[in-house]
Amino acid sequence: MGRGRYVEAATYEGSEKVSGVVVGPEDLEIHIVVRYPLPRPIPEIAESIRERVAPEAGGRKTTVVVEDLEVAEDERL
Amino acid sequence: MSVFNRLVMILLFAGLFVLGVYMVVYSFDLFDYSLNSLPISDFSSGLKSFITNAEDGSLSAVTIIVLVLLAILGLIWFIAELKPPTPRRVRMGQGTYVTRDVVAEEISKVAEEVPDVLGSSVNVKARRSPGAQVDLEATVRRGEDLGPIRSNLRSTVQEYLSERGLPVSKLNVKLVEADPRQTKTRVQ
Repeated sequence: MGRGRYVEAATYEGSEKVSGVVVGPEDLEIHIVVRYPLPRPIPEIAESIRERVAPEAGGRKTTVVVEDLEVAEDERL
Repeated sequence: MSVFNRLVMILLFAGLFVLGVYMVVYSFDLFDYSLNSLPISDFSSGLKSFITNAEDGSLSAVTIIVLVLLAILGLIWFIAELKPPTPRRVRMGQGTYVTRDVVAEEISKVAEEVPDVLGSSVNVKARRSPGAQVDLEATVRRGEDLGPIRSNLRSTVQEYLSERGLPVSKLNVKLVEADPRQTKTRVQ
């Protein structure tokens, strides 16, 4: 999950903090980091996440933000 | 509201607050300040003569210029206020966005892999419609043939971005000739 430029992408509920998700009264933001190699083009990855999350969002407008692209570490190294 | 307008409003309200404090102090004769000591009559007579001159159409040229400039400034400010703010993120589709930094990093990475490009600088602007406006400035060695480098760079960047699905609606490529000793990469 992404955390936002200034670690602002988080939701606080009670004593718990959930990073990468911003839940508002009417909208929901999901911040993600995509890792290379890409299985599909980036918009398709973001759209599939949005489609999967939107039904659980309680009618909130769902937005997916790709925050970063990173290279997966080679486990053999 | 843009940052500039917000600053102006903060200064305006701060000024009004200070004026309000002064008004209370002078109205209630606090700290030995009194309304009678203010040069209100001079101010009101000056204002009256200004209005009379304006009604008669006998204002000085400088005053007219200042008033016209104020009116233009107000109009520009009003239009700037009406204009919707530029989005921060690049829109990919319905409800999906990518940050400008991601687009800039990817373009910079691929641009610097192109032969003859010694360094790059990328400026990405998000738009309300899908896709970003990208200004790519690439540094090349002095004396190179710029035409083929530009077309190669453009096609390489576009191909790379379309493979990954990163939306760019406008790509401006600018080549800058430089001394390799002063660039990020000396040899490609």
